[in-house]
Amino acid sequence: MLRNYITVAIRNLVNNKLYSAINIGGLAVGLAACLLILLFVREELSYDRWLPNADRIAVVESTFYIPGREKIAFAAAPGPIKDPLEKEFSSDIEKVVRVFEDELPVRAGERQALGKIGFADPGFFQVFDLPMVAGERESALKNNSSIVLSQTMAKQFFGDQPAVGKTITVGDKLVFTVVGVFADLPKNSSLVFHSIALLDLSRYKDKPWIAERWTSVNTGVFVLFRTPEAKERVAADMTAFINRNVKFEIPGILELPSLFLQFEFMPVLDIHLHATKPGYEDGAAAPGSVTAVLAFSGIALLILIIACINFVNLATARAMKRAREVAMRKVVGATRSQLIRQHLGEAIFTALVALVVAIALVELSLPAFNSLIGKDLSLDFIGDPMLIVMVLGLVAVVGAIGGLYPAFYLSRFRPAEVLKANQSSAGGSSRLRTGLVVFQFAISIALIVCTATIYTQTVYARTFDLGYQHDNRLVLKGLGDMPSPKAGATLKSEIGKLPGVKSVALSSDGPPLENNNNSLFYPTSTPSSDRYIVETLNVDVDFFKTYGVKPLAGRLFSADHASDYSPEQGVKRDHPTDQSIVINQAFAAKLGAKRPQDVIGKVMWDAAPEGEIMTRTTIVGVVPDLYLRSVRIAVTPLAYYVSKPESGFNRLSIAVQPGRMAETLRSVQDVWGRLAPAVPIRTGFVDESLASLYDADAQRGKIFAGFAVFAVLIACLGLFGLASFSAERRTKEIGMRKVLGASVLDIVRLLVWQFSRPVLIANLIAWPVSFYLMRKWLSGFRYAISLTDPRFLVGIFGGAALLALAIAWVTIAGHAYKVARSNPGRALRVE
Amino acid sequence: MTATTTPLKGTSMLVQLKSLTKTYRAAEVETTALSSVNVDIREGEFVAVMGPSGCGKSTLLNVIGMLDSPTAGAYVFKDQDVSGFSEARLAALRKRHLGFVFQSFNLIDELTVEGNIELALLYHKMSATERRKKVAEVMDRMKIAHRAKHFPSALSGGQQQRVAVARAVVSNPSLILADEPTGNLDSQHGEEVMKLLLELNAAGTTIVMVTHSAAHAQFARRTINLFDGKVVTENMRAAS
Repeated sequence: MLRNYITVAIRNLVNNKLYSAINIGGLAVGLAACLLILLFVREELSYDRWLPNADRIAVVESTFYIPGREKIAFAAAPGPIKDPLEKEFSSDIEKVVRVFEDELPVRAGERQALGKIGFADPGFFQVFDLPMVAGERESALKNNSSIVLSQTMAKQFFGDQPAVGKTITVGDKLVFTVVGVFADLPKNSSLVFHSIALLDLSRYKDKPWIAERWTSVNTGVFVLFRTPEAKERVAADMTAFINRNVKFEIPGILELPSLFLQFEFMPVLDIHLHATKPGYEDGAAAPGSVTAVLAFSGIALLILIIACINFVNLATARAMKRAREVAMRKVVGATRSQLIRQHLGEAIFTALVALVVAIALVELSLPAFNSLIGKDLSLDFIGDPMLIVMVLGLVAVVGAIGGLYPAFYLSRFRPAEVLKANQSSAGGSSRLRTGLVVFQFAISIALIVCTATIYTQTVYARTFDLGYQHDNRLVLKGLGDMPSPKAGATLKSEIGKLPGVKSVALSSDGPPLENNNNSLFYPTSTPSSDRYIVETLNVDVDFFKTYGVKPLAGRLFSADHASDYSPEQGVKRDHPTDQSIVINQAFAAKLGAKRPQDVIGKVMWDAAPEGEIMTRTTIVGVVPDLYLRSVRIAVTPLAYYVSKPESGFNRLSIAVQPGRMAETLRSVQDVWGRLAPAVPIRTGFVDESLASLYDADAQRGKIFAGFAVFAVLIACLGLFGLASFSAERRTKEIGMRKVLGASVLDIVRLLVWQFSRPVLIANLIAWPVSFYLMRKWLSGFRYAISLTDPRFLVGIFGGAALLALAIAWVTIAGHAYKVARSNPGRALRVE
Repeated sequence: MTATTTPLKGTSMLVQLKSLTKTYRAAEVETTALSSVNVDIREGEFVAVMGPSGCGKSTLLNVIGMLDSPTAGAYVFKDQDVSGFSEARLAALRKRHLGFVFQSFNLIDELTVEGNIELALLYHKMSATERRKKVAEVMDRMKIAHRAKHFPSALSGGQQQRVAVARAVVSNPSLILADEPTGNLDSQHGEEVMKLLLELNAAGTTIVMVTHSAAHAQFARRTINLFDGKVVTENMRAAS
């Protein structure tokens, strides 16, 4: 019996090549899309599961709540949190470790490069049980002159030579002996460690913000809970814990600390898909997004549905070709359930054939897909037997879904009606088929709208007027690693003389901002609850000129005004000193100014630690709000300080004349090489860095576009098949129309319009659904396109409708033209 | 005018239709295809059913062949009233007792001659070896063994009908129902098929045949004439 079923199935496929190709092709494309998404989703869900005790490890995240501002969150925590956490929750917490990671110049023999050093508390390996490939790891944290390296870092500095026992010099001052090499963490890791050495706090006595202040968040803090459930117990007590332990040491802050600061525990297993706080992206590959996983899973399902719809449509449309066979089987005694099993089996068989084609398509498209999403996915059936199970299960489901309705429909045929000479059974409900085409195109149009919206928003974000000039801006980072703070001033002076350079400026940070520094200002010299906590940026006098920023009111910083400069840090004074600040419009508005000039000359007091004297601060200028971060984030009130070049900055910005970037870069590298030969140079381009803020969105847009193409392709295959079937059925009618005088164009219009209607109706379904989804996505951007803007409404939605219609016409028109030109005499002879 | 057919004496009753009526309803229109028909057929009979187009001949055959159920009346097959049987039970009876031959042959294009004949045995509980043996026997009997591996499209009309007859008899049915078996054949091939049916009847198979051809009706022992869904006359051919 099985042999008979398979024989008939194969011969049916071979004897109807066009429809078989459409069916198998459509299913193959659908399965290929699903396979790619399946690989992606499995990879995304697999992050960090390799880590021993992963279900008990969490990252401590911090959120600062500043009245009148959006909260500021970090994937890090203040250094002082470690001891009280371990002490107060000893029954729930096994270990707390801090890791301060710094990118520093590293030298080993003749090789030198930048290297990321992770300075960690003892107990690090109790939390992170990293497998070793050479040496051992425990002694790395017993003294401050031992270190363990990752395999990659060991290879970078020692090549194929064993690294254990060798020495490296970090930042020209610290000398470490390599005691072990740990295995590179797998690619599906959301945390990455390059090297581990002891966090020796005595090294940072002059930098208390590293790990000693509750107001500074510079260390990653990791907790190993005793049980997975312990996390909830500890989290529930965090508010009380904060109020018991946190001390801000800022005069005037009398409220409970928990009003300003909260801690949360992000389980390691949730980081990749659920973490949103800044700080994780310094780790491994681009962070994932549970929304993306759900969205792509949804797309896979939709594409599969489209492919199954094709199958159902074509199978029922061509049912009359199988009617005679079905009727004869019934005549010789087959029951309905036997016929259903036969046709369901045929559908699964067709799906299996499609799977073979799909696997070939996946292998062909994996390199491009991997390049697009920045991963290294592969179809490894041998190494991953679960994949075979999932794939076969997918095929069975597809075959069952696609084959169920046709199987029931075919098995319903009544032999008495079918087998009479010259009688044939109707090919199913054309209303159902039309409805299914509408549904297919609705999905395709929705995907086109989503793709167009994501693309438009990405372009909008990337071309948004940020308030400053950012093209042809070269940046040098890591000036803090230069031999002395004064080296930065010399660097600025020498680069300023290069022929292609228009302007040079020093700053503590720059667009896009990587840090979030804040200061507290009081209206008077007496701390009170009337205060302003605003973001700050430390710049030199040429910063605004280098970025093409002009004041809205007042003036910018000037070297002619000595009182502009901020006082030197760390110097105790017995009398108030003066400084000037330039503020942005948002800060001016916060101060109640109706016009920018209203705040010029206003004096405030810059808070100082307990026992120190506040600095008298005068607002000398107001600049426009500069969008120094992603347009997802609102501009916050910001104050610019100015310091002298030799006071020590971290970043140098260079405005380069258009067309002279390459030569300027070479010259800059030469200057750096002379001034800091032991420090590898770190350069970047501001416009590239800003554009990269939207890389994830652009990438998702491309993926959407790719899958929209898949969906449209499958829908078109189905439409082509149905159009062919419809033309075949209407052969006599078309013949008669031509006999009665219809032209070729009349016939083409008739056939094309038959399928244009469902496509137009599909828009009515697709538009509201995609409008709702995209409006939700756009709400995550502070500055976004407005879908109700007529330009976007017409461009995106109208464009999608026209595109879908054009695609449908191209699909059908060729075949319609061929049919319209056929000989009417021959058509009328066929019975 | 109605009439009741007269069965052969001495053999057991195979088919009894008692006041059988069949109506079809499509939208607002009701069509009565058969009206209070009474037909008895004994085992071993060769009965022809004749009448003008639309008189209900094929409907009668479909009802006897359990391809359609009566609207009213009773259908007793081998002393079993099958009128209210489910599709599954009718299928079981069809596969065990009935064979069909159609005017348009209704062979499956995707199966060879051998495969088409074997189809009739596929739904029986029978091993593949036994099936192939029976198929080989019947192909020899029908003199089509030399075309076993050919597809229907490669055969002439007469050969296709031979295959259809082979399919009808391979399961050794009690009753063969033939709906205008020579309708698509030329006279020579038509004669060949009628002789085949005669041979089968001589071997004991009961045959009910719908035909337009008075000449072919002569092969049958009894002819039932239908008009407007009713049995009007019945003729017996004298035994020769």
